[in-house]
Amino acid sequence: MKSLEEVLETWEAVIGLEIHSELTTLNTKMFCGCKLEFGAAPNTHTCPVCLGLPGALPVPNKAAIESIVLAGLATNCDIEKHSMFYRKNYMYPDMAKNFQTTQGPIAFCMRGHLDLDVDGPAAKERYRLDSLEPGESSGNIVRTEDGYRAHVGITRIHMEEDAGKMVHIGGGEGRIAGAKESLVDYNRAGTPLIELVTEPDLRTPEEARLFMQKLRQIYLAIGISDCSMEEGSLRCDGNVSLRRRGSAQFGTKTELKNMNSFKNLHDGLAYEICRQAQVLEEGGVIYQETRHWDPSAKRTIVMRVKETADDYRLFPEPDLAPYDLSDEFIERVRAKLPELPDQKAARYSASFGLSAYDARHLVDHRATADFFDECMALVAAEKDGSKFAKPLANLIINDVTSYLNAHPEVALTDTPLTASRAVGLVRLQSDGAISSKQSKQVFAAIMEEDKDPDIIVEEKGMKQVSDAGAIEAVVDEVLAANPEKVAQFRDGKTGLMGFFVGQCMKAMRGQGNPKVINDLLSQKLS
Amino acid sequence: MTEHVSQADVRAIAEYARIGLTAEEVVSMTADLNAIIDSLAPITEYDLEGVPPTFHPIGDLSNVMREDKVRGSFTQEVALSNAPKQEDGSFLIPSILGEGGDR
Ligand SMILES: [Zn+2]
Repeated sequence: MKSLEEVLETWEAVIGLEIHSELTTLNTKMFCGCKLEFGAAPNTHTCPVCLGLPGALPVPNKAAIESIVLAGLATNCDIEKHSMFYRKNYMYPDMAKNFQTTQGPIAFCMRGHLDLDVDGPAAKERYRLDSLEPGESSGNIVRTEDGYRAHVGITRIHMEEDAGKMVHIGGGEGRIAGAKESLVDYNRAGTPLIELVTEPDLRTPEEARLFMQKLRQIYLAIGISDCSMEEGSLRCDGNVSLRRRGSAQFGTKTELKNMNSFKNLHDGLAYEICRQAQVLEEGGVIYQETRHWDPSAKRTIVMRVKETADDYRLFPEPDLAPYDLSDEFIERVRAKLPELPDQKAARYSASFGLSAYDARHLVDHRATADFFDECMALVAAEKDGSKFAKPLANLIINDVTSYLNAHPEVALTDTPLTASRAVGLVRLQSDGAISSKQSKQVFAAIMEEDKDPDIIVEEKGMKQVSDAGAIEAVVDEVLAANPEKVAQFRDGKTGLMGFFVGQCMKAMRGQGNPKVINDLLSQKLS
Repeated sequence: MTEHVSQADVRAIAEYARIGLTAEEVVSMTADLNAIIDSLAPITEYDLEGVPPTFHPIGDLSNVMREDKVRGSFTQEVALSNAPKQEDGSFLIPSILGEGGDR
């Protein structure tokens, strides 16, 4: 099979996402007062409504409606005042009432968008990005200094409910194939769920991954869900089709499921794009089918093909009154909007002079943004406190992020790195007490030994000597001990500078400030 | 009587509703459903252009919501009390092929 890069030379991938999020931060279910709790004993949070018993009447959870309106406002959607719930009918045991309550043609949130900033090596997945100059635009993207910005439309976000959980027994690994019986737990049935549908505006797996990541940051910031892809409170399906470069017509799309991590989302889409290209190039046909990404086998496999098309017979739910949201309701929700990641990044650039790149990557994760805020608060009272912003950003984006990537099970708040230690560390370097190389060692020691940076520097005898008097004595000694080399240097062998610096460093056991040494050597050798 | 609904339609509707009908029942049900639809014919005599559909027979009711407060749930025993079979606190059902809805 060809590589993604090769495929994207001839084919354009058209990707749309459907993202489901459970509103896990609420207390109760969507239409009944049963408690929301992940991992409770089976069937301990059910009632006539969520078990679909005859005559039970649903009543919507106000906090869930507020949450979806908040999600819509945070993703630039229009809030539809008039909408209603519909029944989506299907017979399957995961929903005891034989229909899912969802929304019809009009959802609470319509016509939104998010802007994605793509940089780094993955920006190259975008076809011929190099042919654009910064500031130039093409289609839905604008070229930026270090990549591009893509405008991704959001079709709608609608309110619905989750189904119960089924465990198939008798088959292999809980899969339906070969199963004889199934166990059903209705604790999750009726969990408030919002589904966001994007326009088919995404063109690369990286854009899809970034969209998902950005949406997750927003949902976490507004506090509507714990967004755990592992526990299934954030789930993503993708639609992919290919078309020849230059063609305006859409190809046949496949739907991809089981992309329950950012990596799986990227890799699943990348595989499916390459698979479709191969089929098409061999003269084959793409069938509209649902495929399942198998991360261990690294391929997508077709799920059971249904003989008949789904007919959900969507009709207005007669048991639920329509909505006619007031301006007051919407404004009350708007007042709850916190600072969103994009706004935070803009503030970092405006208040601390950080580059767009640094600011953006600080807000990639809520934990790192919160940590940066905490650090900056510690130096806020200092006259030139904002000079720490750039070194703190470097520390967080590079050292802290690679530490967290290497220890995925550890949260930043659970590491030995406190805000005051981070500030202490960058302060030591900005005072010239330690070199940038030593700073990395001190960082590693903080994480390893759980001690303050000053103490580590003291204990390890790392303190960099910047005192010109002490360094001058060493420089003089070194020059006196190497009269021939001094003569050669003065004859034009300037490459010997490195030798002199090395000798001074050696004499000072690596603790001399290289800049001071260099300056003194240049001065004395001129 | 006009045929609005065919026997094939009736069989499909019965299938959706998981109702088993005999061949005779399909015949009589088809006649009944067509008669019911015929009885609605007078409505077509009115000019309903621009009249919004009435989805709810509940007047001006809108925005019915409850506070997000936990109310009592069934105990596991009560929840499972009508289940023909159960195991480990769950409903035990015959395996059904398919993947359910598209959530
Ligand atoms: Zn319930």
